[in-house]
Amino acid sequence: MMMVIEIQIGDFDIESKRIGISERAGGGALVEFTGIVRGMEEGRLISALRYEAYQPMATNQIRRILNEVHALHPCIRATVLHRTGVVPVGQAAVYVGVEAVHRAEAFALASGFMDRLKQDVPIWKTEIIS
Amino acid sequence: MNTEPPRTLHLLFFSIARAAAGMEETMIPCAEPLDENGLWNKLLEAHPGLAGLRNRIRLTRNSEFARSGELFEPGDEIALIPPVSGG
Repeated sequence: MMMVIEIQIGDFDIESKRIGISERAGGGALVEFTGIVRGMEEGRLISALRYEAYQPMATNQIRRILNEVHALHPCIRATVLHRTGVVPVGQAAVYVGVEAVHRAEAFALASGFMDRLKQDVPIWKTEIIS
Repeated sequence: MNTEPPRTLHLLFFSIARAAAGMEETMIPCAEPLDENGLWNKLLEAHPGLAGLRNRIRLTRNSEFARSGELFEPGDEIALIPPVSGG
């Protein structure tokens, strides 16, 4: 499976790194997930989240998890982008794009990956209160 | 040329572990391999504020989660990984 993994500080351009429909590698399904910072966390208004990552372990863990989930749900390509630093409310913090032959594998890989991201990738967020 | 073997561990603290330790990283003396209990004894001796987090922290050894029974060797980079919250 082709992989693109980027963990970057600052307002990097997720939009320009999405898997475009015209750039497909032969698949018939493209599933995308974008995680956006909410304005409310556990009943409190926030203005942003600050993310930190343990690099390069975070990138290595993402690659490992993608390979493990790919073994169960074979796909063609996966792109994972995660911002670090301060991400204001309303902006994207994470993007996962998965291309597969059929939709079931693409949905399963995207969902399975996100579950594992939240358990096994050394990235943390801290709320910045309004 | 310096051929002395390493005699320290490089510790990295993240998130709530950083807050409890009051620092981002440090070096601690270590001349012999340590098991997990031995490492925690050294950690808590230097940073007693970490005691309440011990059950919530996973340890890494050179950027990999430490396996059960794995030894930590002088020269290793060890990170304290509190519950993660990416995404």
